[in-house]
Amino acid sequence: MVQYILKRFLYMIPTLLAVSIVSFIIINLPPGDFVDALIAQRRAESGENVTPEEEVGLRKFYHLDQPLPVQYVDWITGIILEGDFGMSLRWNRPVDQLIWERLAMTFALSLSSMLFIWVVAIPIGVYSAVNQYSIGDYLATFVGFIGLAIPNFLLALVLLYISFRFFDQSVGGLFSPEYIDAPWSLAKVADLFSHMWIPMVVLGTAGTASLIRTLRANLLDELRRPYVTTARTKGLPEYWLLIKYPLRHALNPFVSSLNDIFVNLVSGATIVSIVLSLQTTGPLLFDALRNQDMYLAGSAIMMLSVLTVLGTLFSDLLLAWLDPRIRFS
Amino acid sequence: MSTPVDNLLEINNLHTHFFTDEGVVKAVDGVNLAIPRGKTLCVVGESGCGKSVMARSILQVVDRPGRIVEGDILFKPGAGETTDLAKLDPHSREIRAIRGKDITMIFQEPMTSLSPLYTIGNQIIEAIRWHMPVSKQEARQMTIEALRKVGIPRPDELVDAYTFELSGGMRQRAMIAMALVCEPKLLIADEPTTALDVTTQANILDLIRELQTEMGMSVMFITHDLGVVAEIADEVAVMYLGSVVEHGTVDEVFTEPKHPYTRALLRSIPKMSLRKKARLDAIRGIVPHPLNRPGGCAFHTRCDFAQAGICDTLVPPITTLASGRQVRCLIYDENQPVSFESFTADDDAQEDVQERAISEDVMLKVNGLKMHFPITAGFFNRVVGHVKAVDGVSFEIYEGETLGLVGESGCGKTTLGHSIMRLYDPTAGDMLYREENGATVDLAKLNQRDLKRYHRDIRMVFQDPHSSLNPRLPVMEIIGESLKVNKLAQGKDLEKQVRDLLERVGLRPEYIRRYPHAFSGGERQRIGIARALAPNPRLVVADEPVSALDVSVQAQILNLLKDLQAEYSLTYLFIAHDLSVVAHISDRVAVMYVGKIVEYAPTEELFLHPQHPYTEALLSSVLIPDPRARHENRIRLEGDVADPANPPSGCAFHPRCRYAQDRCMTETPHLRETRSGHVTACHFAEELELAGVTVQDEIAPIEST
Repeated sequence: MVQYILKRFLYMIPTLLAVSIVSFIIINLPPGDFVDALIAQRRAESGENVTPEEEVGLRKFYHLDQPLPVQYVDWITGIILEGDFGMSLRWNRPVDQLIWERLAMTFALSLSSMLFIWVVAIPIGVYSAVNQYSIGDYLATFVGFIGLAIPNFLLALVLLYISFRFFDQSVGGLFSPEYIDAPWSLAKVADLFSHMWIPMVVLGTAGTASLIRTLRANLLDELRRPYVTTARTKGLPEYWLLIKYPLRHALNPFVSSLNDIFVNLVSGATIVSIVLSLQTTGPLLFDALRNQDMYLAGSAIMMLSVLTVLGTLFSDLLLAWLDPRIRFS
Repeated sequence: MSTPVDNLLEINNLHTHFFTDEGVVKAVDGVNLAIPRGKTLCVVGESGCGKSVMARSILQVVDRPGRIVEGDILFKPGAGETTDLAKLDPHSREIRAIRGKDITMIFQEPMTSLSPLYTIGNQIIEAIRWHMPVSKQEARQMTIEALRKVGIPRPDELVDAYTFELSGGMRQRAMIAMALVCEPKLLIADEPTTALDVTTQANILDLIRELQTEMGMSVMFITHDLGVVAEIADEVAVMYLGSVVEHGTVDEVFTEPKHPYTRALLRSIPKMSLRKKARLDAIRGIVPHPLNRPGGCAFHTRCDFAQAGICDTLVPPITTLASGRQVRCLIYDENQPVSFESFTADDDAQEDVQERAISEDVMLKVNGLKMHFPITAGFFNRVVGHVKAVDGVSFEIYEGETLGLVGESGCGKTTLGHSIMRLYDPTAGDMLYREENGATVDLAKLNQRDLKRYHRDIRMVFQDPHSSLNPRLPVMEIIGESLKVNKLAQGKDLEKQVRDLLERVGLRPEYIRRYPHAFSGGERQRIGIARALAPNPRLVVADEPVSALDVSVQAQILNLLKDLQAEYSLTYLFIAHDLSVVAHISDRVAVMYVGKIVEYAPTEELFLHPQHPYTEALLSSVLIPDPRARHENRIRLEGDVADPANPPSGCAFHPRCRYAQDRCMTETPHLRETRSGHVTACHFAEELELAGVTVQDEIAPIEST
């Protein structure tokens, strides 16, 4: 097992290297660079023109005059040797500061929406499968499909309206204005939770709906397996055998999709986050890509890949722990 | 038949129906049955006759959308106690207290009947703890004791094993341990040996019988294998389309079948007979779907004795004959003018097989063939060993003959078949194939491009007719593919040829546009055969072509294979584990063990005078469908086929051989002629006096009434 994990970590190195090169190239593919974007922005904002000399100076300042491979090597050696992800050109701050700050918030959000999904979807999914074609099943299916069909941003807007109109809360964000810059306190945490439910529900509905459908389908397959009949002939009560046998078998696909959470940490729910003006990593990456803020964008993509690879490893290990067939093969 | 006091369980007029969108499927439709205390009742019939549903109804574990709609199931565990199981709520505490405690069940496939996610110990302990007030530790001790009792080696270790770590036989033993640990009064066994090797099957049957005597329980044993019935039954109930058509003691039913269905079933099995019969007496057609149950007597559509106007209109009542036997057939109803002429006619009256011309020419000469698969491990996938699936095999197939290849699963039969098809690149050896024009070519050395034309000459029929046909292609494409690929036919001509092929294998040409799911198992196997025959091959490798089929359908397919062989002078390599089938169809038989051929002789010679102890053990485990042929001193082959990655030193069979001596552990025996025309790989072939089969011709013929 240790050897297996070691092997997986070694395989990660070439994967990540390849990802870093490809993402660096792709970020630089669109015509123009950060300086062009900066000049265009200044011109639009204040009408001031930048002389060609200034432009050259800016390029030199940002090291954009170097050939692309050199820029890449500078960036990647910085990461590997010093853990320095470079400066965000736009924010003029170290990239890692920017990302870490938002990562914690994103993690809290992803985790809570996942818990929301599981707590709501698993009982409903089980009920739907066990009582296939009952009124409850049809109801769950109906509500589920509505959840799937409504675009998340629309739901976000509706909930924002409701929370503003009926609960008198500030619109958007994860904190009320008075807490944004306040130091952490119990009151701030309470404030966070009072804001968290909207993104949690918004991000959760689609996931809940699809989880109900998948769990129902998986469980319907498992319920017909001979080992369920065997368990029944042993005289086990229905609820107990349901949890111990078919449900446990039916959960495998979810464990293997757990790595999605890690991916969502960085890229997930960008549109919802923009609508709700959440300080998560999604909008940050989106902004960086628009502005050709290459170090920020590149580092975000790198982190995304690391988390994807780690997430996959994590879910594989979890699967092996849950399923002896995988552990022994 | 017996006084009611003696019965542990009585089923009266049981109806279990499935309420589907297509209509009500009457899977069990009026079953009357009694299980005597301490005895074994075998329920026999083709698949689709409602045997399993009937058994599951007893414990009310019928899958949705089925439920019991009528009838009683009277369970009488002790004097004066009677519970009607059919009246209990399937979720009620009362029925749960009986399940797993008083009445337990074991199933066909122990791999899928036990969960792979928990250890066998976990699953057995759970059964104990729901029914008995014992601690975890005590339950574990009871489990280990139960595993020891069913013959699992090192039970204190294997209690923590998962199902996939055990062989099929061991899994079924664990399943039996689970069923018996609470000392039930009735064990319901639903085809418990169907998925096992003959040798393992014999051991499991012995085990069930021993435990039954020891614990004094009753057993309801469901099977489609009449050999098994003859071996273990006290009483037999024959089921057809949801009702019991005949019920009597095992001797009565086998020696004097009263119902035409029972008789037809008995006649459709290949017998261990050395008089070569051209054909088996297959039952016509297949079991109709219960939705299309024929009116009148349900069997009349397939009955040789059905009389128009009577059998198709009147539902036969249960008639109790003088001896106490029960039968559902109009002939025994005194009010009906039905009679069987020639019902008891001697079934030896059929023609003997005409000698087929087997040429002197060798069609395929396999020489020192080896097929090793590397085992990799470690960091850099180093090769740390080889699975020697086929390890130096030599034999010849003569033009026009059928060579049978037998052995337990895991002995390399299928790999050998696949190697001949060149689905693999053999590790060593050659396969000299003699073409029609007399030229010889070594198939083992050809590259894929040159092989293409030989894929027309040598074709394969697979075991599982369900998974070996692409479900997304119509029959036209499945059969026509090889013709199209080889540019043998196209367009109108192609369609005509496929239609002809369908007719040749006994299917209606109109089915050409249908997809595989529209066919029954036997019909699919016919499609598989048509696919193999399409490019007009010379050699057909048939890998267990009938082992997934019901006896009646098996007989139809064996007849078809024989007819086609005569008609198109085909040569067969027939791979099977069922020795009765092999005896019926083969001219010569090769026995394989751990990648090597251990014995090789003409069929009659091999079956009467086996020279290798492995062959003797295989022959001894064949269950002959005649209760008088039960033998007590069956050779039990313990353990499993040796691991081909790490075969035992010397003779690979020595750890399981009851005649093994020191020499066998060190010196590898080679194939040599031990009798004329008979080669064996055993050091002591000449000295040993091994027993062949009891030939059924020597058992007294069935008496006529």
